[in-house]
Amino acid sequence: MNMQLAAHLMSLVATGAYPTRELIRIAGYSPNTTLRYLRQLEEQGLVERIEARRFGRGRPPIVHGLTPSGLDQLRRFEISSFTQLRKSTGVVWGPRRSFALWGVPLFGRPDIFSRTELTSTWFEVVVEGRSGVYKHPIDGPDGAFPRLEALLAWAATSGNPRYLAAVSVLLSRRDLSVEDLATLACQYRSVNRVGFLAAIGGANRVSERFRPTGSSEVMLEEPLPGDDATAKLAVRWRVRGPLSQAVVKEMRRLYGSPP
Amino acid sequence: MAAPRSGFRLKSVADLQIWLQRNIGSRLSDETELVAHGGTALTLLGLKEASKDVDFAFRTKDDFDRLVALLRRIGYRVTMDVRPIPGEVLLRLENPSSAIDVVDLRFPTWNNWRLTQRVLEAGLIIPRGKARLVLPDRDAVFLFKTYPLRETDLEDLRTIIDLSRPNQRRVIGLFEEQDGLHRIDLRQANVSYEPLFNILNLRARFAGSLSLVGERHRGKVKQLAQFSLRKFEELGLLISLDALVDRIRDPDRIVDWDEVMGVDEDDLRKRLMPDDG
Repeated sequence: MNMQLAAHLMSLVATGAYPTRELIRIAGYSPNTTLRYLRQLEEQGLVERIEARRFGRGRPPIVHGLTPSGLDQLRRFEISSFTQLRKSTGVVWGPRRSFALWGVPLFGRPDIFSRTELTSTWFEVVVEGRSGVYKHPIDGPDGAFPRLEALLAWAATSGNPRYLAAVSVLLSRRDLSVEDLATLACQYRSVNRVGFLAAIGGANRVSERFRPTGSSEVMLEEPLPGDDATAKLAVRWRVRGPLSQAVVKEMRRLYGSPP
Repeated sequence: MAAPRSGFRLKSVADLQIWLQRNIGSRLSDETELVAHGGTALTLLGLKEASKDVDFAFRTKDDFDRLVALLRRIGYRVTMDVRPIPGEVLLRLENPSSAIDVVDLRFPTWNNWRLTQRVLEAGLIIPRGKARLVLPDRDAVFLFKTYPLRETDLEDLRTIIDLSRPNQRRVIGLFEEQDGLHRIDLRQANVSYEPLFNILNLRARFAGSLSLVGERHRGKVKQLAQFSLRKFEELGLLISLDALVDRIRDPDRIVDWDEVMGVDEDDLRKRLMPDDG
């Protein structure tokens, strides 16, 4: 059994409820190979077959799910795969996985930051050429994560509303190094966006330390109509396409105030 | 330098499926149908990351009550109990010690959308013990995402358009059905809410969402965008779509629909009321 292939299939099963035909399509292996591996994983008690149904007509599809031991096994696979990649290419865990470490867990696929495109991995790859997220990483039990200040300075440039709202929540952490964050925000050219997210989320320690720079920054590519409070802060921080206060409030309600 | 919290990790569909089997399906006394919605449905379809709250809606009050009772029994606490729109209940239950720590339940509608046979016909029913997890298809999930007008939902719409473009004819058919159900309500004299406002809300948010996703994405679902605009223009409101969306998105304002209509309300009602035939 090719362990990489088995791990890839298990990671797909862990990230969606796909009928078998769909699973074969997205896995990209031949139907025979995929079915053979799924059968072997079932025999080992790592994957289970679930007979689904449809409301309409059509053959009842089979959906695969990981068993609890399958999920444990997948996590071990992930860590060993990551460790190998880290040794060979210097990757660190990506934004989604890192936000979880810092207290804002999301649902989704595990991801990694890499300096170059990687084709031979089943992790979602976020290509990031600048050094910030790789320098002085946090060594957790699962491997290396960007330190919080680097993650936040990077995520403010991501254009992803969920990541931006997560930044706004985490900027209130009391153990955040504001000086370190300021240096990294300069490196990522995200000073205005970080300042705006701090102001909108009430992270006064950050918003008072930061000063808007002369050039405006784009937060979201498609500008939306906003409330007055958001609009005023966006003008002050020279941010175009700002994230609205409503999304930040909702995220804060969901994830609570950081320590 | 900040130090991470311990015990948090990325969540996956596998966590949700195992939780449904172990904590829910094996403890329910009767078969209970839960319909995955919003970000939860998108995650199950493998399309997008989502925040940690899990969204379910229900077709029957019995199913809703049974799940609420079970969640309470296993340590979840109600932390939010609101009526996002008239007649719709949204309960948030939380249990910090569970892998699935935040569960949002809605009944009988989800953001004004109803779970009809047509909505669910292309969906999957995934049994997990006595729990029946219903996963609507991509087109239904896409339509249902055209209501909230938040940046996160608009981004989800863009992702669906990029990764798995919706079947525009089906989405239009689903919208027509939902719109039609609200129009039938116009005939009822004793409803506890104003169906006319629901129709205005539905059409404005649908057209607004397809406008706000931006030109590039709108161009990929042109038929749908044109249809949504036509449905909005049929209302004959004096206010523009942009101005109305602006008001709806402003959390500090309550939309005064009487003012928005700016036309003879009775005339609008008559125009929207379905023919008896």
